Amino acid sequence: MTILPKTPSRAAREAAAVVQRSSTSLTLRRLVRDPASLVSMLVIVLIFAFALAAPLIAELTGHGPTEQFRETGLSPAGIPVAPNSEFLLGTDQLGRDMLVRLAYGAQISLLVGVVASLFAAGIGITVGLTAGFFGGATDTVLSRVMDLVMSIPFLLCAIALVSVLGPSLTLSIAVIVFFSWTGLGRVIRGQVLALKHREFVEAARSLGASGFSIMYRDVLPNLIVPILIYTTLMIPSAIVFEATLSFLGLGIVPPTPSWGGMLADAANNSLYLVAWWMVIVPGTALLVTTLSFNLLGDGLRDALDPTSARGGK
Amino acid sequence: MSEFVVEVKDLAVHFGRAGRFASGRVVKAVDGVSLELKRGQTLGLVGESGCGKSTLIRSLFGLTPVTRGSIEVFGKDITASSRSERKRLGTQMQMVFQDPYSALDPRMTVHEIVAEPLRIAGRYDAKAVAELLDRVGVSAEMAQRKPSEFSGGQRQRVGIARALALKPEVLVLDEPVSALDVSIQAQILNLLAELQSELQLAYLFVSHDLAVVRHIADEVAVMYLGRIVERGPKNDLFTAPRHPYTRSLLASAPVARPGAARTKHALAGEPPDAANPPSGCTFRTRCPIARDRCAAERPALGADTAHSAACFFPDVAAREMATV
Repeated sequence: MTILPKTPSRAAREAAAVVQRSSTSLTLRRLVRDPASLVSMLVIVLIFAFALAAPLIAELTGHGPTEQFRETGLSPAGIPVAPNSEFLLGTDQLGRDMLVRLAYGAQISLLVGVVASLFAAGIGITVGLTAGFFGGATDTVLSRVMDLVMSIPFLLCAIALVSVLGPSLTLSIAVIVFFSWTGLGRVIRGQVLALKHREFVEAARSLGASGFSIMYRDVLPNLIVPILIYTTLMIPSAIVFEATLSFLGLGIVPPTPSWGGMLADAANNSLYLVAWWMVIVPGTALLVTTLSFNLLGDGLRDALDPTSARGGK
Repeated sequence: MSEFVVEVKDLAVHFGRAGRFASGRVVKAVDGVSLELKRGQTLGLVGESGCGKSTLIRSLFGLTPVTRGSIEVFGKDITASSRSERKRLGTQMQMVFQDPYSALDPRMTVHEIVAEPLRIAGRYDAKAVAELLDRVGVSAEMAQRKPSEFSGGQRQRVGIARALALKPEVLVLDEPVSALDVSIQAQILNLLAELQSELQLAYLFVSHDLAVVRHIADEVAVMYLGRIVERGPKNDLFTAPRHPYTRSLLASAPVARPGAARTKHALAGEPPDAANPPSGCTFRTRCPIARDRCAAERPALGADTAHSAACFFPDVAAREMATV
């Protein structure tokens, strides 16, 4: 065989020589081409930078996150001062710098959002994979557990737990994780049920591969797309959960700054009537952060799975 | 060791079970099938969808629990074997799947896919994988690509390479070309024929395409509603079918001649519900020559002759349906 005939493999090889991109680079290209995803990615990077730069901001302004400026930060009547050259985003009811507190609050929000989502994703993947893969009684039990968790009222349970254990960062994360993993768990279970009967999984099974090896090598890698999307979409809801808990005084303990706590400060004594920045500043931060993560999650879905419905695009 | 590499005896696979919590409906997907596969030979297994072909081959690989009967691979009954022994025996029999799009893991490279059987068996060898891919006509530079970059025919080549990785002596081919274009079908069939003569492989070739089976098989078994209704050497079966079902199948195969009239014995209607099969001969509800006896008794497949049919009136079938 000196001269190869034009076999399909050869033709494909020649065609492939023209453009050869990996699926990762294709995904990135699709993501960058979507303006909403691009902007939201930039915003998320900026928020992370802002959170990481919190000590630097404190250094530059000379204001600590819990430091009270009773002379410069409060009017003679004890009312917070509006944004000015010293306090770029104004002060709160104790004369603390909103900008510095916002930066430290971003640390808390992102920490809770990312850590809680990762833990919840871990539990969701494990439970969903186990339920879908083993089926039968295991599936019934785990699915009912998921239903049970979904039917527990979030706030009621959180209030009860906090009143018993006392508010803390760890407890906030634990409560958020407990209420967040079920969504991903259900999605993964469904996907595993569909994948389990694909022929490549049966091929591995007919070769005598063990159940664990099939789950880990054949099923799990095919679930990366939903895992990535759902974990990204879990971050904003975890951030909102944390803000809700802190707003109700069940999350981060004052005087540690958190966005929910800052909003609660504004609501106390109806201070927002005279100090609008106390609502607008943390409120906007919360809104922009959750919106960006949600848009990024949607963008990721479109980029990773171009065949999914794109809603009129 | 017997002359057969695979011997299936009176195999039955029933789904659903009687019992307090069960629906009480038992589907006899495979009901008393016996097959023998000789070294280096091809047995074609033909039948409509839903006749139990897929269940039969799934049970060969332990993917479906067997209700009754035995499956002997090189004289060892795999239905009675432990998992580890089955794993060892299983290497002698491998499967090529019907749908080359779903049979290959989309997240693995082609090299990894072909290496998987070797990895599971604990003897991965990159050079062996390269040789396998070369043997089936997939070039070395394609080995690091994902299946999505391959055409259907090339994927099927990869599927064949994976099946050959453990040097089996038996390949079970589950409609290996039915998802492919006709021109690609011929390439794959030629590849299979080359591999067979080179490696002395025995093929169990499952298909509903009579033309393909006629091309590749040495012997043919026709399956209807979980049973073999006729089997025999290819030429005998195609030129002188004895069972009316085989005749109808042959008559309903499309003819490559424009304007050719459809023959009158083309198969009509749907196969009966497998959970509630007719009494006697299960084909009688669609049979053009059914008699009273067919409803009362179930005809058996004669085991003594090379070519036999499970029909009481093979000669009537030959006379009345001879218009093919």
